[in-house]
Amino acid sequence: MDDQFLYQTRPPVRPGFSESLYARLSRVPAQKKSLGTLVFRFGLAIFIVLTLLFTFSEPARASVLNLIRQIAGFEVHETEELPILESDPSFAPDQDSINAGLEKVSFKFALPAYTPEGYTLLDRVYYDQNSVLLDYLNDDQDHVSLTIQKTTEPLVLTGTNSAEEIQINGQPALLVHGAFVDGNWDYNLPGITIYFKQDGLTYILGQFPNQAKFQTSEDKNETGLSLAELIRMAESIPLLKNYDHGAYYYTPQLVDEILKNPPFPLKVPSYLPEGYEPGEGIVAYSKSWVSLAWKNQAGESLTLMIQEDWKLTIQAGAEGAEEVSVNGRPAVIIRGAYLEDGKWDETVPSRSLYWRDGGFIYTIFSGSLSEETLMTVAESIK
Amino acid sequence: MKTFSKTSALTMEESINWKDVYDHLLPRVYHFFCYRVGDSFVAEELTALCFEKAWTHRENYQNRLNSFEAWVFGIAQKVAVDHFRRRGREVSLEAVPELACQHVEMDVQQRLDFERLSQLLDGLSERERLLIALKYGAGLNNREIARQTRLTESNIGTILSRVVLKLRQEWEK
Repeated sequence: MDDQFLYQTRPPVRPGFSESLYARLSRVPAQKKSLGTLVFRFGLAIFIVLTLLFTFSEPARASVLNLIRQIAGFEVHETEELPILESDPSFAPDQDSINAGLEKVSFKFALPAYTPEGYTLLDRVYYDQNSVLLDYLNDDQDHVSLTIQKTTEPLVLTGTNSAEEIQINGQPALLVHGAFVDGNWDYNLPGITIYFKQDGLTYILGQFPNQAKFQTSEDKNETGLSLAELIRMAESIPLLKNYDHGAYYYTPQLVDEILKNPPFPLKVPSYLPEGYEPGEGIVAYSKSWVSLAWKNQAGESLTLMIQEDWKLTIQAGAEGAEEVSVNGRPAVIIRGAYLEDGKWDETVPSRSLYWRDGGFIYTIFSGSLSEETLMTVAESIK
Repeated sequence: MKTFSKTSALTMEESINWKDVYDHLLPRVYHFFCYRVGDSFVAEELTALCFEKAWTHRENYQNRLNSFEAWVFGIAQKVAVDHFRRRGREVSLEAVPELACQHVEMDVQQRLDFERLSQLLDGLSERERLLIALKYGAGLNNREIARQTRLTESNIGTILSRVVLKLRQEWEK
């Protein structure tokens, strides 16, 4: 037995099979206009589009209104099969490039500050007067979809017991497992979707693994984006007051307030130079980045930044960086700063100290303290 | 206003020649099912089901993302999975009455070889059998199989070499 044998042993196609199949297909009636078809017009199983249809189409909403449950403040209709609508639900969004499309959207919304590694925002946006839909894709064709609806009362369609309450930035949110595939709810599909309300809008963030890949993968948990990553992405969507045309602004909080309710366990200095008192700080980027500042009466500040460990690139002039040690850990001190003309000036009395500890990157910075003082502060962070 | 329905319909008309599909893709899908389920009667029914799904849901196909062939084999894999889920139920012969007289022209030795090979394929793991079906049934190359299965090309080559060797040893017993 060899390759050739395996090819030759295939039974021949029965003569006439093609013709009989053609006759069989010709008897297949035209498919009714189901919501499933509309969903697939987006190219992938983005069942969250159903939420748009049922929220904004009165006939569709009326057809299931007596069957809904309340979960996490959302109206959830549990069904195994997509309802068939006789009439067109009037959902025909426009499509455009992101730059052109977002200019035409009639309401304000924010995009995530955090994009999971390997995913790219596709340069296309679907939109109508009530909704916006954007897609992220990775090289494996795993798909993350972000939909924003101009309502806080969406109607969500899911399979039975597929929805549960979680929290996004401390607020109730809906987590849905599974998705509609070919009009039926697929409980095995590792698609997950998060619904949460913010700024009078409903944000819907869903991840759907490449279907062909999932169907043949032995490890069903291997595919797609993890729930933790999806939650991180959702929590990185800022409030509109902190967002303007792609730029993120964060509302400062008092350092004492941040330390009372830290987003993750924070190590702070046990030693501060004389005269320095807690000032303001910022929690940002899906709670994975914190900045705390202390100030003295002269207005001079000492800043501590803590961020999740990543491949951070520090920019400095040619002679501006030196390797040092903080509590035995490798560290780098940066002497100097970039001036407004973009040139590095190492004579500026600015000092930054970077080191890694426990999965985080710590940075302390001062424009006035001596290097020795800065080092003492750093070594008191344990 | 440009709508999705117009776009989809235009894409379908321009991109799929159904005569070519019947002439060239149908035999490969049929052979995929032959090796996947090990029964030529069932394979014919599943092939029909697969094409029925492709035909019914043809508006779902978007040639920007996948080739039509890859799309159909994606459907075929799902049809096979559904078949195994409901295995044990009787296959309806009413849908295709021609089945009763099929394979009269199949060479006796070839039929015996196929039956014996099918028994050996029954002893493979799900993944091994899928790869055999995609490679020697559907005639896909390793790169095309990689797109369908998420395995790497080199991994596919290694697995197939090992499986063919195992089949050969069993065959020669």
